[in-house]
Amino acid sequence: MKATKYILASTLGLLLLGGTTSCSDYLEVDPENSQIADDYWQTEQDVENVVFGGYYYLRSMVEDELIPWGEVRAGMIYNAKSNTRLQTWQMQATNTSLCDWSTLYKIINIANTVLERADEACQNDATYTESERNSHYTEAYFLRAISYFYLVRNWRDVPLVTTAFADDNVVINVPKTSEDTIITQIKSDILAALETGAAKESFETTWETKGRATKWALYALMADVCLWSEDYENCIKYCDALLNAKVAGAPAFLSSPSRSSYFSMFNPGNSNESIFELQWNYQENQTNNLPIYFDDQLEGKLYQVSGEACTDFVSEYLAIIGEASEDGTNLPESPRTYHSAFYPAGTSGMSMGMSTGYCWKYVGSTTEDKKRTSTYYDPNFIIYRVADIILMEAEAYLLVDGMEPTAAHKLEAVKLINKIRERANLHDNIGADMTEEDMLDEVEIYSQQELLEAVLNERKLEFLGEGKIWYDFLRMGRSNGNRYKQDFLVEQVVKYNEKASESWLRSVLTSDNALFLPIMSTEIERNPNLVQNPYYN
Amino acid sequence: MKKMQSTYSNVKEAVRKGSLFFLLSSLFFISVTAYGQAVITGTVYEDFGGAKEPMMGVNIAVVNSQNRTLTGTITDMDGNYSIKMPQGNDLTLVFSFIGMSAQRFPYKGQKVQNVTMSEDSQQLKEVVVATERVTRSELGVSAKTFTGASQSIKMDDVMESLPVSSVEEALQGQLAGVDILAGGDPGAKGNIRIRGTATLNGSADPLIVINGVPYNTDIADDFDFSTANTEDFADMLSLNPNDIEDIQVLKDAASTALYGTKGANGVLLITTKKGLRGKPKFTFSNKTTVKVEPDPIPMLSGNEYTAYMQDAIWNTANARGLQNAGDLIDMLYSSKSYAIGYQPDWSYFDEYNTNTDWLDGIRKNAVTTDNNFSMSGGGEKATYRFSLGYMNEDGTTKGYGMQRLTSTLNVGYNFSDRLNVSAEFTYSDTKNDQAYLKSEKVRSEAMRKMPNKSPYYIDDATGQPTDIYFTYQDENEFQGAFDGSSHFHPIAMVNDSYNNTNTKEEKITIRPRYRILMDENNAPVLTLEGYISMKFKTVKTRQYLPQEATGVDINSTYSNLSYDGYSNNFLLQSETKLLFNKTWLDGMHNVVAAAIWRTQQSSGSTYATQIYGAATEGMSDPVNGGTIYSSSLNSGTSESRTLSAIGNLNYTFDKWLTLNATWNYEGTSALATDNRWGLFQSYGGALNLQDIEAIHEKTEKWLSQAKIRFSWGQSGQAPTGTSPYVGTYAALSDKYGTVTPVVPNAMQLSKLKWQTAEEWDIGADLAFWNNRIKMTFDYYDKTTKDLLQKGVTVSNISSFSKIAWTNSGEMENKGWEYRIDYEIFKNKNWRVAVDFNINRNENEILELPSNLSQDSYSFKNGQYAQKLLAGTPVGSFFGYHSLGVYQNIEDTYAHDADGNVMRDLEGRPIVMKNGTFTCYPGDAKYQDVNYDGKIDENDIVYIGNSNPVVTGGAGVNVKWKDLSLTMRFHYRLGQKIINQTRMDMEAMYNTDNQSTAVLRRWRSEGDVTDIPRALYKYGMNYLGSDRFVEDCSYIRLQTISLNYRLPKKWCEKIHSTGISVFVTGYDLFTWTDYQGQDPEVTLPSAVTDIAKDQSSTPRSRRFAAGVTVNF
Repeated sequence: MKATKYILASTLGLLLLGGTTSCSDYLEVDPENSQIADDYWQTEQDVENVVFGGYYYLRSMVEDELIPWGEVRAGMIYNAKSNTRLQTWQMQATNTSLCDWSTLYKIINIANTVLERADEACQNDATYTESERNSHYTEAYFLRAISYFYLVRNWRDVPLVTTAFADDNVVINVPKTSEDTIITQIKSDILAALETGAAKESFETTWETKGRATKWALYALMADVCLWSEDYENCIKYCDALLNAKVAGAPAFLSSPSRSSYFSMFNPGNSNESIFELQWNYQENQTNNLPIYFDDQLEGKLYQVSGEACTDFVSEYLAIIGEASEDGTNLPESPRTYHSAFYPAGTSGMSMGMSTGYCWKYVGSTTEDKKRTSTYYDPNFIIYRVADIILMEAEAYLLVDGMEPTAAHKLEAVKLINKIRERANLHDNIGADMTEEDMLDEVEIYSQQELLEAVLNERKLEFLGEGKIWYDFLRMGRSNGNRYKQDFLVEQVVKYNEKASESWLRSVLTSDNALFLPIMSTEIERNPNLVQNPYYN
Repeated sequence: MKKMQSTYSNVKEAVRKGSLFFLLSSLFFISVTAYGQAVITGTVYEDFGGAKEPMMGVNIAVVNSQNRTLTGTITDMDGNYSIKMPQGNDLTLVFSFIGMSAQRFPYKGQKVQNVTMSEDSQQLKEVVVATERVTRSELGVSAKTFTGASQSIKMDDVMESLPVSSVEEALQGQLAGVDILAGGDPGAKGNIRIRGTATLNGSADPLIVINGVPYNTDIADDFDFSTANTEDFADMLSLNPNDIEDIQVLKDAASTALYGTKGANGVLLITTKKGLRGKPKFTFSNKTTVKVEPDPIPMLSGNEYTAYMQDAIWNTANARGLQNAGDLIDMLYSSKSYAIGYQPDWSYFDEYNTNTDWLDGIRKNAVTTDNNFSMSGGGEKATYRFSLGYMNEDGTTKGYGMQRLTSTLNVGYNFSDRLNVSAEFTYSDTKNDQAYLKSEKVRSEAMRKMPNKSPYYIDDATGQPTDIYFTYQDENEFQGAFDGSSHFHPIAMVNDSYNNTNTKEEKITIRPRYRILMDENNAPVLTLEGYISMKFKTVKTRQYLPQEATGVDINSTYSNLSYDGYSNNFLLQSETKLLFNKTWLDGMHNVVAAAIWRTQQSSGSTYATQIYGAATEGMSDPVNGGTIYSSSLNSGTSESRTLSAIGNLNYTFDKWLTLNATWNYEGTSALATDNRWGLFQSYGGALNLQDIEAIHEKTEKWLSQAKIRFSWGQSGQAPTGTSPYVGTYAALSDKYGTVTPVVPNAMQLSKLKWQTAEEWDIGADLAFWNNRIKMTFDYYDKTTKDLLQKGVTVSNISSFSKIAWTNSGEMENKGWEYRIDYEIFKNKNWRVAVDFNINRNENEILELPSNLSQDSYSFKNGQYAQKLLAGTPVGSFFGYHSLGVYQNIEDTYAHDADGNVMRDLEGRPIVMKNGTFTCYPGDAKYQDVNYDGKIDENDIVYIGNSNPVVTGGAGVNVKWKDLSLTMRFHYRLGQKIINQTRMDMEAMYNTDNQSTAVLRRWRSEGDVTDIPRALYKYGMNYLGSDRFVEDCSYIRLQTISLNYRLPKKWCEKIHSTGISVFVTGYDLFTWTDYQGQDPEVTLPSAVTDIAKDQSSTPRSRRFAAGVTVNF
């Protein structure tokens, strides 16, 4: 009897007592199927895994965002399967797939999270040094900077978020911030990364050296951002820092005018010239659709080269081959045309007047007719390579003095342009075979506009399919207060974009606001502080 | 007198618990001194009308002063016994045998004790006492002093006159303030709403409490049986109505406070039957029900359909201009027109030239049988009740049915007057059979199916249908290919596909009770009691979709699809309760207080897999092969825990004034530390005017009760799921390089908190002339703040597209309830009684949650606008005001606000446009609200609301001797609904078959009709307008039942203690103007969805007959 009483009384007592001390523990239930954020940051590997999430997301954007955004508005490459509103210049806020910035903000959140919490792992993991942590910081800064750079280039003014969305106390409904502020933020991120001194020149493996943010990638991005923001002196500074790097293993221009050397940038990829490229690897089951999208013989073909762009490639090809093509033996090398950057549709070969072609960079296995087989559908996507830096610097030299570049700067620019052309095995270059002094006089003949156009022409042929040309049109068109908008933007788009009528293009391109994307309609609905971009409201 | 009453009720309480022993022990107050180790012997006899015979098997127990058994034995063949007496004072010998009254002899050292047992004459009396006991809550508060709004019904009373097969059925229309809508499919879950819906995203279902233990119905919150519909099962289904003693509904916050936050939507307290001391009693009942479905909407025959389709296609071709309508002309005249043109050469010509009533092929009349058996009884120490029930319900849609086995065992054991332990075991096994798709899908497919198509191949030789399904259903077929939910063979679907769910539920509850202190009347003063309850529930779902039902390609993921899903849930609940009940100064002051500590832990796991391309139905188990459909693979676990400390204080002054306070301090694992614990308070008071001496004297003759109640209380609701507030990371399935990335997956929700409601309730209970008229009235006003919003989409800037939960918005429900019971006439042979209840609930959004958009509408046929505005109730419809049909050219001219025809610059009249379509005679005419000559979004007006103005029920009971006639009515008045079925059947837009109403369609000028012309995929002739919004008010004769209790004499001949037989008709008559099949349309599960009638199985007319036999 008594025993029962005691048992009951003590059970009650225990429950009540236990209640006050361990209730909160009892109510702490950990979800089994996912990793709890607060318990996560334990080791160096934990930090690294999150950093890699940023690269992963950036890579996930290549097929459906980075390529269309960078290409189809310009029209040198267009989507042949469906005439998207992006390429017909009829974007609406409801075309969700083409104006969705969510992945970029995911990368930004990852970067913010690493910057806020990597130190926790540093505290928990004795083997995780501060410099390793700083190295991760530099990658996070790079990822955040490049994401914002894509955002400003596509939407101009966007919300600026620099704190991680760790919990719901962080304000989600952030309003837009001006392009200038975003650019300032990007630059300060890159500078912060460089200041740590922990940015790596190389990683243990090649794929990491090319597929993660190195010091070189930071320089390249900085040069690009400076060029975009008309900060030409700094652009030249960072281009030089990269081009003049004397460190072993630093990215280096593949100057040999040979097709095989040139093509090695795309297959197998991760070449010396590469600065930052997004990695796929069939051995890790990472493949992509680019070899399908760019192959005109497959059902899934998507991206076609427009007629005018074909003409550009054929012209270059013929300029190199010249009369030699008549007998067909011992043809000179044409590194960036036939079966290299470009290949003609059908079986007709390269001839004047052909109107369709495809980008061979992602399709080819070699510079011959061989394609990648489906096992090897893993071409990388290059974001920066040395040729890009060379042309950036040329552009910067031409613009650094304002409307009228000095002869010395023109000369620097021409030398840089020639570097690119020489590798393409082109010989009719400005000041070819001249002494430096003669060249100095020679370049005076050319106006700023003519030389800029030369830069642009190289960019068109050099970076076909690499998701750049639209930003080049836009950047050059906007430089010097829209001075060259008509020539470098409007006329270029009108020339290449065959998916929209000329009158429509001319009318839509007059609006500077139409050059940027609308904010996706659901974003406007969910965030009352967000105002639709002008032109779309 | 007053004191007597109190003791009396305690006694009755004791009797109910089966401890008559306690009563007897209080009569013998004997002091016994201690003796040494002695042995006592004797013989026990049975009294046979004076003759004594030795009796074997009699229990002999030696008990102490608290009636706790110290030792015991039983008599042998000759009735002899011997027992070694233990040490101790105050020992008593107790002789007992089932059916005999126990005999007690104080032990005073005697060596021999002979006993003569006799039959228990008190037994019958006890039963009477038990059934008329005063209802007392778990805290020992009587109904009279209860300050909250509640109502209870006794199940036996219901079952006697109205044999029902589910709890929902029993409650519908019975209780004021409880609105129940029941579905027509076997096992379909009904909507139960107590005082309206006070949440936008959380569950709106009331809490069900069985014998004090909350009945948790969660499976796993984050589990989504993508195609299964586990939620469709009635929550209370596994409970057999025959096992229920009574059901009490607690409505206001003050009365639900005791059950913590889970009771925020109201509480249904269910008490099950227990064993009673006495001879074993056996009850057997059988009920057989025949279901007859109401007539369906008449549909076009094959020939009428062909003519209509040709008309529609031709009209569109004309409207588009013949030069632009090559595809349509092809449909009529080329080889593509196989199905609708006249092409006798075509191989399937026969199959497309029949008159098929598809709906008829999937309907049937159905029979339900329900058998129940129970036995109960008990002896000195123990009581028991066992029941077994088996119900086999057949659905009126073929392929739908349910079988349910329930069994319960209740045992109680009195260790002593102070210590009692009881245990309940229940097991239920429910099999629910459905076709692969829900019945409304199958029914709507059967309705829309082209009636000129034959269900079976037609033998070319005989012209007669064969028994092979004609499944031609690819994209070239006139109505198109299977898309996952429509375009299938409805007959093959109901016959050969299945979606079978087997739910097994086991529950064990152990409840000890110890009376620590008793007063001089042996009434408990301080009691410690509690329970531990374990429930294990498993749900197994098997689905199979044969290729012949869909006609899909063999490589399709729907081809011979087979799904296997399993979920289990374990629920552990405990309660420790300290009860205090004391009365001072001759009943002037009474205090009832309780301290309760509750824990609840629920965990579950789920798994699902799906294959396609199974070889045959027999080989459809996913383990037998086929191709695994990877996106269907699913598994998960869930766990949630709750703790609560509840204090309750109830003070009664001089029987007529009661004040009550409850505090509930509750913590949940679903909220982050800072917001985890919530304090919810409630206060109430009750005034029993009739007990005030001065009033009592004057009104004694006619006033039985005049009670005024008021209460105010808070209640809370927590989000569901396994720690939904926790921020998480997840590893991605792909790598970058050689590293598996980990990315943020869910945001930490530090701000997430309890949804809280505050409710006022003022009520009165009146009774006159010895309770011949009883009335209850309540007014309430409930405001719910910080409404829980689930799965809220947020800006992508956050990198999360959704947040699991947020608190946002405010809502109000206010209303009143009234119920009257009137016993009109009563004498020896006759009794006539009626009851009536009426309820009104008004819902209003006070503050719109930030995530809900005010409007969601796209200008499309068949679309209604949803507008959620602060200050309006949920459930409003917005759309166009239909004005019929344009009769002629003049009619189509647009008019300005003054009624003049609008003209363009050249003076020509402007013709109305429906959207971009210029109106022609025969097109639907809508009101041009803004007089701009164009029907568009700007012409949308308010056209109704799905909330009823009043709901309620009424009953009539007439008794003559042993014959009783009962009628129950259920009504819902003043609500509207979108008759989606009729819209689909009259839209005349695509290839769907239409109702015969379209035979009245406009064909040429001069036709006076309200049905527009037929157009094939063209025009705006069925915009979401009030044309399809119907008043679905109804009054329904829910049940009419005739019950006859056979005369005692007859029963005795077969040794029965009672036999009754009944015949009952269910839903025989419905008074309504609604044009759909059934006005009782279940509401959408998401509160913010628009209420639509989507041709779910209508409630059938049911006829039942049954018999109940007692032994």
